[in-house]
Amino acid sequence: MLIKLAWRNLWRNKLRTSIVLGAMIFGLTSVTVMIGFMNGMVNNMTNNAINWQTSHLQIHQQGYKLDPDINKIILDEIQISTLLDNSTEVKAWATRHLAEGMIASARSTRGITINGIDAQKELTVRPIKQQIQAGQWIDDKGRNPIVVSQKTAERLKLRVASKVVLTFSDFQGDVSGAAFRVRGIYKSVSSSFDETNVFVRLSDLKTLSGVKGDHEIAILLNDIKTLKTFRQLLSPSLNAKNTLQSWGELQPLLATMSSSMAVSNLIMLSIFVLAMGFAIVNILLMSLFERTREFGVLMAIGMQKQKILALISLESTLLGLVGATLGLITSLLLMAILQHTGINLEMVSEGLSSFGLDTTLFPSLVIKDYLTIFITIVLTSFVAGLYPAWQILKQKPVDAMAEKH
Amino acid sequence: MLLKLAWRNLWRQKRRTLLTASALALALLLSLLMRSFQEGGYNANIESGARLSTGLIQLQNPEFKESQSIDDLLPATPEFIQFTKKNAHIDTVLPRIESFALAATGNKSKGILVFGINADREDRYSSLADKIVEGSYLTDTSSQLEHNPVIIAEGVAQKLNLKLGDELVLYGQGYRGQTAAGLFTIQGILHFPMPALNNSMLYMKLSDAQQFYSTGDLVTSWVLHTDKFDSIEAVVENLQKHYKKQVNVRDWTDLNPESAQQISIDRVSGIFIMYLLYVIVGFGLFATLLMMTLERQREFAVMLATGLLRNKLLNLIIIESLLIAVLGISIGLTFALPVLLWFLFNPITLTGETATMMLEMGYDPVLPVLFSAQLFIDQIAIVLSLLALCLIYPLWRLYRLDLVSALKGGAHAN
Repeated sequence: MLIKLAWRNLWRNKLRTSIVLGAMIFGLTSVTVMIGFMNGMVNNMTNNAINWQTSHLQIHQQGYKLDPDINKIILDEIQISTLLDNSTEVKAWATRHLAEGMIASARSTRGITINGIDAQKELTVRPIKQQIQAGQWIDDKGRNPIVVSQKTAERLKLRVASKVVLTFSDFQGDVSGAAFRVRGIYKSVSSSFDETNVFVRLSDLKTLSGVKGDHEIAILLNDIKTLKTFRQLLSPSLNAKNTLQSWGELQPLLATMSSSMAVSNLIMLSIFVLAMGFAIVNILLMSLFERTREFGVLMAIGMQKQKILALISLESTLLGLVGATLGLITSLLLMAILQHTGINLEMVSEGLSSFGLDTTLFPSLVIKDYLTIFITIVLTSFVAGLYPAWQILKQKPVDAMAEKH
Repeated sequence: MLLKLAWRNLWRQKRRTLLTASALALALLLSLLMRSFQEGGYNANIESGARLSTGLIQLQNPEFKESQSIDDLLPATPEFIQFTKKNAHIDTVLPRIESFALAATGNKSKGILVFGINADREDRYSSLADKIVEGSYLTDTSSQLEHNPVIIAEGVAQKLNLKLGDELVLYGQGYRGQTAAGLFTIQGILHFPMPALNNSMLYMKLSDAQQFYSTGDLVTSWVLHTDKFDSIEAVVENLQKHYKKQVNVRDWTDLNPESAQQISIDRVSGIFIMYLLYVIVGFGLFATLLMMTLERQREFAVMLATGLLRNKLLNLIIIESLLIAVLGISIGLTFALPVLLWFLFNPITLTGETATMMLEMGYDPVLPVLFSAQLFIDQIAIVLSLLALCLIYPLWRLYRLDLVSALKGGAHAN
């Protein structure tokens, strides 16, 4: 009975109700798109970091990341490889031989990390082949091929087939190096990665360094959800001098960013809800106060106060429910479109690239986020109804009936 | 007369007026605070970024931008730089050599960035000496006895396992294909919060760097700083005109396109959020204005019937709405002003994880505000245009008000 009454009351002034619904639909849609955009950005950053830099897990000798000494190799590498080959959780893994050194052309010199990689296996953990801008990816043919980034190529004035010289310290600390020929030029999503990484064949680098062993094993899992359990499984079977790190530990900045993003999303939601709250209270005030007399009559003919309170609360909650539902539908639609088309930010690609972001971003929201937003709005609407209700209920029926509007 | 009437009309609906005004005030307050913090943050970041590495403007050889090669240099002679020094807007002029070298010691080596600097002037500009955590800063006048002193960043020292007084060898490519090689002594260790700098920097005296790279009396760049951000554009234009094609005059957005674009991404998204907020508040404002006219149709009809000109009636409504806006703006400003002034003199200093994150990204973990008249004017303009937009429909309704039916229909005639 009350619900029906509340529903009808709501539509007594269609224009006004539509305005507040409009405010709610617009507010909810913009909040979801914005939060979705932020989430999409963090997801994109994380995915790019996993794809290009950290994989899901990495094995090093302890302390290698702090001090990348060429002699700090992974111990018991053969056991680890059999272990990884026999694990069903592992999608792919690759070994890397790394050296910190310099790359020089006739034109200029740069400090870089030389990645000695297995040409085939590397492709299973890093999507570099798709990002080759010119030339080709490394294979077994040719003497000393190297793949450099577009940024390095520009700075050193390199083209495919140009010659560069790599120098670094070998296992005895002597300066070692050789001439390499550019086989391909790549461009990843992260400008900082591009600035510091070049790729050569593992066997070539190993010959030059004289180090028997490798420095890094990158592991990609079939499902990122198994990360924790697989880690616990693998960890005890490693030599105590090796260390196994997940992407979150390798890139703590990203992990911090996700958590601070959650806080800023919450702040944004509350600001928008507050603004919407004002609109809702305002409209409810108008619609209830112009009916003070009506409520006075209801009270006078014996309607209990809590029933009137229930009626008013129902009205405001219904308003919230309708607005939030409509808003949810629009935002779901809009998100579906945006997830299909993406948001193109080509104009600021360099700024995005320094964050390690793609130029086209796809907003993403999980059901939990939608639910939070939905519930917050309905709740706000309910709370917004309480103040006018209290104002009306505290009056005596006589005074309420005498009120002229 | 109309004003008085409008003012009294407003207070017939005390709650509604106050609520609408406070919604406006809230939007204005939040937007103004957000924008002031944003712009303040950008200015601080540009300033600190400039002082720490690139400067606001650099003079470079036209080829240097692409090649970053030690072959593309500029003269360091007084005649060359005289014109720049005469510009009243430029308050700092620093010669620099910036290049790369392989630092080696024992059995370790690492590619590093070498900065050849004018020690005293550089310190006055970037407070480099304050970043020394061990040992001492470079001095321009040090005696010949000390052999090639350098100061290195902490990360470099750790990776190469170096301590104060240790020697390190630098190899690199010198001017026009000459080999650069030299033995240097560590006189100090610097700490930078940004890993990128902390893991790569080495500073030496400009004269030592010129000797090391065999550049003679040449430098890679002249670093300039202007008195105000606003004068950058004019200074760049002026210098480029004078030096013509022999020098590339680059401002910070060119030297540091990543951070310039990051700022523009951030600014645009901030402004976008601000507009969204105003639209939501706009819905509330629209509802109020609409009700203000619709529920008083009978009253208006009576006024019109007794001879009030329609124009005057419209004016009345416009004045009433303007008063709401003015009320909202003044409430907003009353709260915003003290808050902004407080933060202007007591900027928020972040601590904990966020602070570390900001430091690592190269920003100070301090949130300064920009106190600028333009930001205030922008907000007020937005509120007023919002009002104008919301007024169109109610005014149109009023303009078309049918006297007879409004008189008959009472409060809610449609």
